[in-house]
Amino acid sequence: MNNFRTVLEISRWEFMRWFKLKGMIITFILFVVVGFVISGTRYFLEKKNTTPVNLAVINSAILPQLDFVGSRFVPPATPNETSESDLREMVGRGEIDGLLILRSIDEADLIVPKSPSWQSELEEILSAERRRLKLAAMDVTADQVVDAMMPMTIHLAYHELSRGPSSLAEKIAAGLLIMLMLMGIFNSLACQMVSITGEKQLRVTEQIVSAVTPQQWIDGKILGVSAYAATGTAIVVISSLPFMLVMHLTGSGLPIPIEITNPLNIFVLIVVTLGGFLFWNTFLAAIAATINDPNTSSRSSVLFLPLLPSIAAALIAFKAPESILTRFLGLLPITSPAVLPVRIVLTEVPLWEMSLSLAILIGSIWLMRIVAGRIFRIGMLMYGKEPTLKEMFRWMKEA
Amino acid sequence: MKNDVLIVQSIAKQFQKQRAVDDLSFAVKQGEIFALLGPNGAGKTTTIRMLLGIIKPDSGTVNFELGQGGSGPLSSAKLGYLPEDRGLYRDIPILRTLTYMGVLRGLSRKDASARARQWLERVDLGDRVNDKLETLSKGNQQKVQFISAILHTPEFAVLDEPFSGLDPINQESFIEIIRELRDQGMTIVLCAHQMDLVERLADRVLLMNSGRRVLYGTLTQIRDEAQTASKIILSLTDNADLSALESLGMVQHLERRGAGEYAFYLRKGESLHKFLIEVASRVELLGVHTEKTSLHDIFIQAVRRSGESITEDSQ
Repeated sequence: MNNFRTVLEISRWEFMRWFKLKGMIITFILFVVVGFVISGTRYFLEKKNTTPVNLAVINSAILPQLDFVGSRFVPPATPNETSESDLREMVGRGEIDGLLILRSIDEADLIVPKSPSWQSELEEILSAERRRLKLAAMDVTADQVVDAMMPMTIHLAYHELSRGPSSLAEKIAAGLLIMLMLMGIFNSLACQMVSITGEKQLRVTEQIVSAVTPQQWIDGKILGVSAYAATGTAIVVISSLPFMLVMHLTGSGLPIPIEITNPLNIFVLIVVTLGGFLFWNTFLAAIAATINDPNTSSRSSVLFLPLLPSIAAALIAFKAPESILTRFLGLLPITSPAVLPVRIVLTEVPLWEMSLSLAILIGSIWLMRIVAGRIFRIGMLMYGKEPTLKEMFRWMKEA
Repeated sequence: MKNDVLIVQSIAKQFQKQRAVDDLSFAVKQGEIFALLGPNGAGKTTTIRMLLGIIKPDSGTVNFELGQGGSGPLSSAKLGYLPEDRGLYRDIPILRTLTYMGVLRGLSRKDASARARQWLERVDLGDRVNDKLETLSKGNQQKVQFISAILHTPEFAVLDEPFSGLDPINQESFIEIIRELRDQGMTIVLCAHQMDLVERLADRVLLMNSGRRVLYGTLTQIRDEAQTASKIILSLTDNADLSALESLGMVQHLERRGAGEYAFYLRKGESLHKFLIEVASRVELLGVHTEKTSLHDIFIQAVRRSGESITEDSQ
């Protein structure tokens, strides 16, 4: 059996050991239900929202009787002769909430800095006026009524001159990403810990290492458990999508930050999340192999301490996403899986920085894997005595 | 003449200050059952681990000649291993575990599953394929572990204490299976403390003590090499003066067996005829018979003679 197939078989075994379909279905349903409860509450609150929306309108003559009276849309305090480009810049600077450019009775452009929660309200008002015009302009037939009842098509366009302060939606999105990342990491670390120390305690190790190399074994374990963590995370994300989508369509959900709809950013977020799972699982697999009994080993209690810098770094990134310290932490493999997602959502990360961060992370995983393989090889066959840190450093050096 | 399929030359292994294996050489022939014996701490497990490539010897070589393209380490598919210190996944159905073990040894998943079912049927566990290991008795768990070692029909298998935890009926069943595997061409290295079972199975024996070779060869050869004493069983009257017999210079040692029976071990070269004359002149004899020196006796005497006491501590 070749190396790849062996690693794949081990990772499949590890994945199936932990993956419980029933549990995943329950998680899925739970998230959908919780999601709808949250979004329903938000929908209700949104309906009660009376915060004024500064909306400039160009070509308002197309809908001459457009009436915002009674709604929360108010015209901005700008001179009438303000040009479209000036208004767009004002949108970018956040001085007004949006710019509506009426193209025809059927179409309009809405320029906004971020996905607006008030879009459905605006659509209702515009469509009502459009219906009125359509009905007034023609002899009404059945088809015409249907046509007249069609909502007005609004093409949404985003415009930002530069990043302003992070919105609530962005902060929530960044927080959710970190929560997902940490949840996945802790979940997989717990599995990895139980898997490895359990195998040592059950004395399965000798039989396995006579069949596969320790490096194949640890590679398979890391991949399998990381895949399990990724699946769990994906299920959480997927189970959140239906209600997010519904709420977005009804305009009552939390606005989705533009940054996480960018395909490049999505790709980087996925890679950095998987990288985080792999990095921490590699680290933990090596340490767990040196533990005899997780119930009595002092090493068990300090095992998760190395994760603390990640959490601290994420908090720093949250507070100051563009600081030099945050940018530096975004490059370190020990903190980048927690920092980079926050930075991507809260600020603009240059492509070279994302590329460098990912390259360092992937390189570190590879190196860590070799070092972990060495510790794992010796640690897994040690019973009764746990290796000292000095011994472990010696093995790492030899690796 | 059978070929040597494993050639071990002068291997040695040191753990900190302890010399676990010291200049050990031997060969295993194709299709034989080769018993590796020794008291606890003799270096058997370390030797096995070196054979299987789990640890590397500090010096010396281990070479297999099993058509793997020259001599050298053996591929996983050709090797089976039942470790002494063993276990399997307790919370997973046994068929799934056995299939996994077979796949790691190079079988396809389908083939591994089919073979696992066949073997489980063979050992009367056919109706428990989906049971978790933890629900089985110790003896049945032992059967599953044994299957995991030979499921892929390896060319070379190391079975370390295959009989531990088995009742006499299952021991007999395992003996039959091991013989069958040998007859099918599998080369088997067997480690066991049940000397009577080893004696019934082994074609050749290597006895180790303190990491070194003490005896090596067929049972006939090691009986000669061991220079064991003749063993005579005497039935004596209750009032027989044993001290008069113990003081005989030709007696190496004496064992009381109960019911008036005594086993006398004569020193090498001593005459049975002279011994009986001496005994008959001192005590009243009720019965006499001889016994072939058992492997157990050879083991005990050889270890004692090698100057090492048998330690009962675990390795």
